[in-house]
Amino acid sequence: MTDDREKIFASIRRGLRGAEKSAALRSAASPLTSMIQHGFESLFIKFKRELEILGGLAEKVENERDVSAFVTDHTEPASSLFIYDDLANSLKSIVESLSVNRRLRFGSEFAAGYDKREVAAFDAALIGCAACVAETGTVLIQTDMRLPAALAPKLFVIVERSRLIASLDEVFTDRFGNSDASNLFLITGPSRTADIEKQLVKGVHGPKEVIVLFLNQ
Amino acid sequence: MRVFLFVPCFIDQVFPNVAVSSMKVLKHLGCDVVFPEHQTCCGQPAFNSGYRDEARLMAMHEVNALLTLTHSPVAAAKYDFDFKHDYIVGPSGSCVAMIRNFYPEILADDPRFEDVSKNMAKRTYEFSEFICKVIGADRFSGKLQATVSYHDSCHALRELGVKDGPRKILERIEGLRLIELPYNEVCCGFGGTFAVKYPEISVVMADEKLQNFYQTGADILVSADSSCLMHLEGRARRSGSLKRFAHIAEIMSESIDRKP
Amino acid sequence: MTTTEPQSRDFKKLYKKEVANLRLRANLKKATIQALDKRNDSFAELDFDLLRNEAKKIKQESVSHLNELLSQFEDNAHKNNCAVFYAESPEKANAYILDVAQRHAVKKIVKSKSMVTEELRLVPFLEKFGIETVETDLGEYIIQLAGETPSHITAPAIHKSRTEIAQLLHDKIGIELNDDPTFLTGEARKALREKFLSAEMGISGANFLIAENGTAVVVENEGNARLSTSAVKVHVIVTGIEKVIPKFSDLRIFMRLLGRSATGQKLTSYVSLIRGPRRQNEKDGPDEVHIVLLDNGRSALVGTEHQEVLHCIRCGACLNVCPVYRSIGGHAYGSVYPGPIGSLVTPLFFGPKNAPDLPFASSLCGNCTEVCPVGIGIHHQLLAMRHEIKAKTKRGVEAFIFRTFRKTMLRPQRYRLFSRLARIFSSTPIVAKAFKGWTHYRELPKLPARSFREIYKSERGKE
Ligand code: SF4
Repeated sequence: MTDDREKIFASIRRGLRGAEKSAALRSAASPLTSMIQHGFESLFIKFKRELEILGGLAEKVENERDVSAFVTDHTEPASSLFIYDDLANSLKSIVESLSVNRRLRFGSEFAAGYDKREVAAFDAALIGCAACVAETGTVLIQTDMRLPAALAPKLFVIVERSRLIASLDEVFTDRFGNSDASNLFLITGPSRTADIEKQLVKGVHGPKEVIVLFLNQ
Repeated sequence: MRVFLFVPCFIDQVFPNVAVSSMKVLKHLGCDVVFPEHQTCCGQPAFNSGYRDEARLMAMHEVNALLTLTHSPVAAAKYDFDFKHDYIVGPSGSCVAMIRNFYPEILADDPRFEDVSKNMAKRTYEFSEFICKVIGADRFSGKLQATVSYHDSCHALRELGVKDGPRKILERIEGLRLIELPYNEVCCGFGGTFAVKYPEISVVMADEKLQNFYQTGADILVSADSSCLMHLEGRARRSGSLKRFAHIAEIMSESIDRKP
Repeated sequence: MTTTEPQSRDFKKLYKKEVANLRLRANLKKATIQALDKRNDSFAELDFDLLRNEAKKIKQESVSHLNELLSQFEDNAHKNNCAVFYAESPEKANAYILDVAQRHAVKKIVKSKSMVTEELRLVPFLEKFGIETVETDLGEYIIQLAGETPSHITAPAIHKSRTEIAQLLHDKIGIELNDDPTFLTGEARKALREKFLSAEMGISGANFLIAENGTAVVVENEGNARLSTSAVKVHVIVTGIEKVIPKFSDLRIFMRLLGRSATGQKLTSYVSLIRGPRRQNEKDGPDEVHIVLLDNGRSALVGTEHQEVLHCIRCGACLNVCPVYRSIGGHAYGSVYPGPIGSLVTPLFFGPKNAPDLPFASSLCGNCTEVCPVGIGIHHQLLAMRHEIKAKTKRGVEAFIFRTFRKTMLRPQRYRLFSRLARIFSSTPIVAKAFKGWTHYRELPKLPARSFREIYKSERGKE
């Protein structure tokens, strides 16, 4: 089917005639006076406040043992947890201790074309992230498997403290703009809606609980 | 300080007391007030209803009329108005916005009016604005026992940026209590011909405004635009309300009488 | 789905019905006031004017380089393995989307919110060809079940109360009658989850297209857009040509403005930055991504007085703040795009003949302009449209009245005569009848015995 590209371009060109000498394109957006940035502790306080206003949870944890204790505390016995590969590989001891009383599934068990229904049944997903943003309580994720994190009722994000950044100014840069992945998701708190009489309801299609654990490593 | 009083047509015809009061207050504050007698209508009703050409013709007439005192307003070269020292002041936010914001635009393509409309715009003020910005609100004081609310007309508020001024003036009146309206920046629903083209919507908006006004418990609703007041008062009377609706110039004038 | 679609041409009929609906007005008032209060709070820590200026600059620049940016976007989208299709008209866009669906033997489509697809009437079109197309945004889902059209650009079911919604879901999907929003949302989630798992194709809009890297930005709260774009084999993005902006870094400005203006959120729950189909090393995501860019009257606005209407980011703030919208609701406008921006876009996209009254259905209070995050002079645009419309209609009663009015005002003698006549006839029934738009609802003020100029004259005479 041939499209209308040339017709539309011609119409725009007609409109712009006479105004063609409009200001040249800038090389970058004018930066905003960015939020003041100070070390992890104050950024963490800001991140926690923003996320928790939205009904999420943010905690500092010291080591892998704390992570598995936390996840154990916040999931039901025998519930099924999906663990993304990057986490499973880097945090082996978490996997070991959780496997005692939770049903664990791993990214490596699935190949392209997997059955969506199988993934939709997980109670929680554990995922790492590219960055966290203090300004808004946002988590940035980029994955090779989009659905587990999008469907699970509970999402645990486990992240090194060094990945906490101050503001959205740092998100919209080449660092994240030029990656090869097909997707980048910014997740800010639980999935929610206010479509019925503006009353807030959490957990519409995505996670109802978003828990971010900052690991001291 | 010489002031050319701009009296919009409906104030001239329907609310002359607003113009009388404006003149009295300005004189009281030491201004030399003159009334250019050939002025009629600024053209805003036509302009806002879409009749730009009619509005342009009225604007041309009004420019000449407002700037001349003695002869009939035809000869553009013989303005009596001194652009360095004189002011044009009108007790209507929306009509002043017409002169100040839209005259330069609609007259821009006519060499006879291009400059004069721009220069005139710079010397034109809404009544309460003139008192605050040019004379100084602290030069005014009065006395009146009353509880009032202030209605921000949209044109004074958004086209002219008049917000704190009228409140500062009201605060200078001894015995007067000002109670803010809830949602004071929401339109009352007048909107010129909108009020008669879409009366059902216009009065829904009026009723909201009136409810907010009644809720304050104030006795008088004060504004810098008589057109909003005419609409609100007309609606209030229909449901039997006895509240008073008054232009800020009238309130000021009364407060001077009580404070010799 | 069959609906008899209201038409903006019938505005005068439609609004009269809606304005009398007290329950509708109560629903709207509650919802819009809450949205506005939250909006105002959310801007507290930022400089709104600064952001707005930046946003406006970027949008101005985008429109004045539209061809250049579209080509750049297109190149980058191709590099990302997306197909790009330009459609001049809704028919063309619909035909392309249908073709994509048929080529993949699609039976079920999950769709997330997009005003452009409403403009295309895409859902009824696809359903005509036997392709089940499900709206997955909760509000849109409700509206689809009700066989209605959205009444707000960001809150489609804003006109419905929980009781109405409970009854509707009870009737249509057979759930228990319970008006608790949490319960209702949970039931809708269940029904829609099944659709996500069985659909082959997803359709979404895009809030922004980034020229420099070919990213499509989809902003939402529920997670349905994320699923509509991820849990499917084919993803079709449908949006307007004006959505392209130059830089990825421009999102710094827009992301801070959009959520706040729409719902008072610092950022919406989800921002999906989509860069094409599943990569080799990825295990899910669509195998094909198509980007359909609709013109439908947009390119014709470039270079005109109305160019800035193309800056709109569809946040809905101007609707929430509009006292006219709040009095009559979105359906009264008879258009996909209601409220102040709708009164501009409708005649501009669909032709002024289709919406002769909309530019006049405003008190020109300017509250919309005050909140618009991209600095569109909405009420001045409405005024300019009035001028264009009336410049073409020299005949008619109103034109005659204003001509006579002008003639009167240009001659001070006539003005004085008019004044005298008005005083004589003011209290007669003729006047009440002539002004029935006024007198039916309000009292006319009593004309004083003398005009100001008469008073002034006689005072001066005494001096
Ligand atoms: S016109 Fe402005 S306020 Fe209205 S929807 Fe568009 S961007 Fe938002």
